[in-house]
Order: sequence, then C-alpha cells, then structure tokens
Amino acid sequence: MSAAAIVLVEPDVLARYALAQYLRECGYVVLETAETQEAAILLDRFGDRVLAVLIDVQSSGAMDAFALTRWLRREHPSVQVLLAGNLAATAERAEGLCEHGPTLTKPYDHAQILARIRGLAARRDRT
Amino acid sequence: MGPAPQPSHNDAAPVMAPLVLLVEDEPLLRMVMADQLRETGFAVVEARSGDEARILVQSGVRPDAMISDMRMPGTLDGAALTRWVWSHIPDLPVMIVSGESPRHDLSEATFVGKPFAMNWLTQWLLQALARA
Repeated sequence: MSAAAIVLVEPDVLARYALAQYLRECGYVVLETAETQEAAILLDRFGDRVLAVLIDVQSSGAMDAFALTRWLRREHPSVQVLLAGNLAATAERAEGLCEHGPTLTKPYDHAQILARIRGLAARRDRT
Repeated sequence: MGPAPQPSHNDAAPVMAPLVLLVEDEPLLRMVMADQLRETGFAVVEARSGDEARILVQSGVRPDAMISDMRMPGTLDGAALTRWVWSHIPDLPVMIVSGESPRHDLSEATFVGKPFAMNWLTQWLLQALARA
C-alpha cells in the first residue's frame, strides 16, 4: 500500500468529516481524531507511514495543539505538521513550531489544504 | 513501532490506549459509537466501509479489536472483511453488528443486533482484550 496517510486532529466533527472525505477521494489514507492524545497514539502506532498531521489549534486532550506539535517534532520528526485555526495568537504561537509557512485558516479551504499536502509530499520525496 | 511516548514536564504523555477499528457506513451511528468508545478510554480508527478498513490495515493500522457493521457498500461486507482481517491479524477480537444470525464460518466473532446498548459494547471490548 503506497498511499500516504494524513492524520486530522479536529474536534468539529462536521468539518473533519468533510475534509476527510475530500482527502480520501484524492487518494490519501485519512485517520481522524477529535483530540490530541488519540492523535499521539495513532502516530506512535504507525508514524512512519504518516505524511502529515493537520491540527486544529483549539484541539484539546492531554496536550494542547502546540504541545502535540512539540511532541511530534521530538518523536516523529519526519512527520509534517499543519496547524489550522483562527485564534488571534495562533500565528504568533505557531512561529518557531511550524516550518512550512502560515497556518491554515478556517473554515477549511479543501483545495488549499490539498495543495499544501502535495507540496509536503514533493518536499519529502526530494529528500 | 516504537515504545510509548514518555512523559515530559511540558507535554503530557499519551497513554497507549487500546486501538479499536470501527467500521460503520452510517455516519451518525459511527460518530456516536466512536465518541462513546473514546470517552471510555479507547483510541478509535474509523472506516466507512469494509474496503476502507482494508486500506487502513494494508497501510499499517494494527488494531487491538474490530467492530464492524455487516451490511456495507463496497466489495467487502462485515463477514468478508472479518475473514480478510483474520488472514492478516489472526485472533483479532471482532464484533459484527448485524440483524442476522451468527455465521458458522465466523464462530470466533461476536454477533450483536441493532439496536444495542453501548455499555454492552464496551464491556465486550474489555473482556475480549483481557483474554487477548
């Protein structure tokens, strides 16, 4: 199985459902979760197969979104992180965590997210 | 896979909860079941069909148990999915949600009809995982 896996960490089930369906139709394996601890479990089980994790900054759980991002950087450095959200402080807090440009805004622009993911895949394939 | 993440003073440690593969094509029912399982302490990977569940397993997902609807769109119903999964993950505890009588060729699976009590589902999981 060669399809890359994307993990969506999004507490809004309707937003998650729609984005997951879109990405599946684009050929990705999508793992959904509503909170950060479950995301960490999924990453620890098959992190090597995960291309990217999209995290809503308002995700809750044992870690907040930024703590999950730090944990990913430390434990799964090959996995790319996409932060999403509209909190005023998001961009500032994300600076230094997200290496690949600005955070994604909500509501999700599916085509924009797909373009970002394809860009990350191309970057990974070059390295 | 590597060991469970270790705690740090900054980032809470993810606890390695048992992973349940939940296969259900009806979205609202799947959401309710997934939420209940998460609240009980399980991690959940959701699939909308037998075909999608097969892709997940082929992609490396290794659940500790599977709960699957019987009738689903696509090429794999619950019975076919169970046979396929057992060929890759022998002895995986499987519950099939179905209005049909238990199948003789799937005697190791647990059958439950709809509607069912969510408490019963979580109890089955805990017992199945305790035996595993």
